Amino acid sequence: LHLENQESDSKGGLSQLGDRAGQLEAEAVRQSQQLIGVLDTINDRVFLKDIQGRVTYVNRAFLKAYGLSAVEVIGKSHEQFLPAEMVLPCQSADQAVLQREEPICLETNWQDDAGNRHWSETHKAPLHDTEGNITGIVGVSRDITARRITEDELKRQKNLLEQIIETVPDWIFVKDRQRRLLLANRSFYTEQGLDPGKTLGRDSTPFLPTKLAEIAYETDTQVLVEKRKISGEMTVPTVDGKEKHLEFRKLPLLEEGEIKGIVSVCRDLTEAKEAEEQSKRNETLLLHAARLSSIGELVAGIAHEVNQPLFSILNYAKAIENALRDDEALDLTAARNWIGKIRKEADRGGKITRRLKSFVKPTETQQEAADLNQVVAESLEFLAMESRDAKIVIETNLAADLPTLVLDYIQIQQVLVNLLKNAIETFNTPDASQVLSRRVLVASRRKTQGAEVSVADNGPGVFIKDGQNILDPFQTTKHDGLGLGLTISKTIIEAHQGELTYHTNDWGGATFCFTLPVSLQEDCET
Amino acid sequence: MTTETTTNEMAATVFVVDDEEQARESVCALVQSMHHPTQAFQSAEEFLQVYNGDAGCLVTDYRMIGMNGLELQETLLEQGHEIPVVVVTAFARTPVTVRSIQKGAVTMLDKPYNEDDLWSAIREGLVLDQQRRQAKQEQAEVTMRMASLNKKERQILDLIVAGEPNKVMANQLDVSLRTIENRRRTVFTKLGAQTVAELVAMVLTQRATNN
Repeated sequence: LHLENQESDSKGGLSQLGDRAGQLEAEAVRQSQQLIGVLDTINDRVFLKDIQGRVTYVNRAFLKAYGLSAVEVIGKSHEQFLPAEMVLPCQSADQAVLQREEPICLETNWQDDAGNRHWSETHKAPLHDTEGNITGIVGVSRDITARRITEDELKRQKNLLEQIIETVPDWIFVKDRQRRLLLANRSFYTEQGLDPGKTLGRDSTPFLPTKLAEIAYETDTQVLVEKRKISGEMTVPTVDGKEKHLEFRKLPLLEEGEIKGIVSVCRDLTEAKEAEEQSKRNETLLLHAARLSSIGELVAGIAHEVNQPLFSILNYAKAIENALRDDEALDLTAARNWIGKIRKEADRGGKITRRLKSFVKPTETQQEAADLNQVVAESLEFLAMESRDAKIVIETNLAADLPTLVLDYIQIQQVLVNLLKNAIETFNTPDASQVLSRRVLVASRRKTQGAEVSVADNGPGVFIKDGQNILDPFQTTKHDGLGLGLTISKTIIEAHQGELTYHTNDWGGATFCFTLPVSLQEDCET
Repeated sequence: MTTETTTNEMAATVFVVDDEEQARESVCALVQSMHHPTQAFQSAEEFLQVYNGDAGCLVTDYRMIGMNGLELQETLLEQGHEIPVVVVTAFARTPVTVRSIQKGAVTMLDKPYNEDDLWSAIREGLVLDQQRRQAKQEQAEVTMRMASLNKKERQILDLIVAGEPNKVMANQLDVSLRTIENRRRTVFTKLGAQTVAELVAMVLTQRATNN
């Protein structure tokens, strides 16, 4: 490779001078060859063109880049050897350099035979002679393919990230230290009815409902001051007068250890909350239905209980009527006594119906401080007649030192009625016919963290079919039951953070046992 | 006659069996207001220990701890007591009612009953008991009178009931017509009968009792 020979002006001078000139020329050639050697070692492509656009020099990197040899290039214009798609951009760049007489930078790309695309960044500048006339163009071109691929990849990833952020239903937004909105996704704008044009780059507080703005201000400050991630929930009113329940997370935006702003993610939990409440309502309905059903099954006993005072009242009323009819034998003391009894019996009837009413009323879960022994006693009254018919005297062994528990009175009563009913009905099974003296024992005990109630019978024990768990729904050995009683009992006890278990007792019968912890109510305040 | 019945019925006791104090006491109050003596028991077992066939009527609850109303009824029948029983229940199941009535209960009453039902039932029971006892007494008297007849008088009685005229009887027994007429008069006197119809009724009652 060589620089094209320039005619020397010193030809035909004095011999010394000629020798000197020859020395100088030899030196110049040596230097140019040195320069050419240097240019051949660099990766950037260097080329020179004369004013007609003919190539006068290219370095090794240039030839390598296009897979050409010097013969194919030197003395040719670029359209003769460059890939077709590069011809036009190069040509217009050359024209611009020559016309404006100033350097220019352009980016070009082309595809090789293997289908790979190559990008180049080329700087072109005019070449001048000593008089300042343009003699040609010098160009340095660099392969920027790797950089372009990286840049494209970055762009692609950024785009992907943006799309993801845009499609996430959560509100995602970033503020700087002055609370100016730097970035926010679509949900943030649409859910809050904000205009990106008005809010981006500004403090969005003035555009928010008062309560939300207050909370936003406080939590942003907290992140900036405490320099840590915070999270929480809030309920804020919406424009249409409803309520929105939001869960939020805020964390400091860090750049080299410095807090540059706040990243926030907000999730709308309103629907989830509603679903949760709906499911709670459904559960209440189910428990209510189960209570109604158990009352239906106990109707004989309950009818007896309700009718008993009415029977007495009727008898006393008739007696008084009779006494008043034959006034010569009127016994006022007896009559007064009977009236007193009528009042007492009416009172008793009232208590029974009130108890029944509260048991079958569809109530939401209600936590109240209660005496567990009293719940046991009242539950026993529901079963009084059933046990009589089954010829069972239900024994009790209730601990006097039970702690006061916070519980849903009616629901725990429901569990007890269910367990007692099961205990009594166990004697209706054919396996129970050999049991001569039928026993059911209800006991309460104090526990370290609460209390325990057990219902034990000396019946034939728990009958387990194919290893199925009798606490699962629809497991029943009875003809007229749904098999939901124990499942519902288990649900209720677990909702009280307690546990329902069963085992075979010393009598060979079944013992059902549930625990209830002492509630830590005071900690639950929000 | 009517006065006598009332007096007997008045003296009869109403036995009340119920394990519930208020129910038991209120039934007693009702009965006492009608000037009848009462005796109350809190279980069927307790009543069975005390009862020895006294006149009266039994009012019992159906559902009780221990023996129930129906079982009490059955036990009384086994022991040969015919006392009328009124069963009261707060929740009557049809099969129980049917069995109770089959075992001879006067009635089975639902608590609370309608108007005067309980007292009517008790009264019905008392009257029934009185009638049964009177019928028994009359039967016993007839049996006694029949026993006072001798063999010859017994023959005449059978022939009278068979509807034979005196002449036929005389021929059959080979005695005089006068003898027949004398014996016939003795039979009427001994049995205290006025007419042939009364005589026939007594013999039929007697046969029914013996069967």
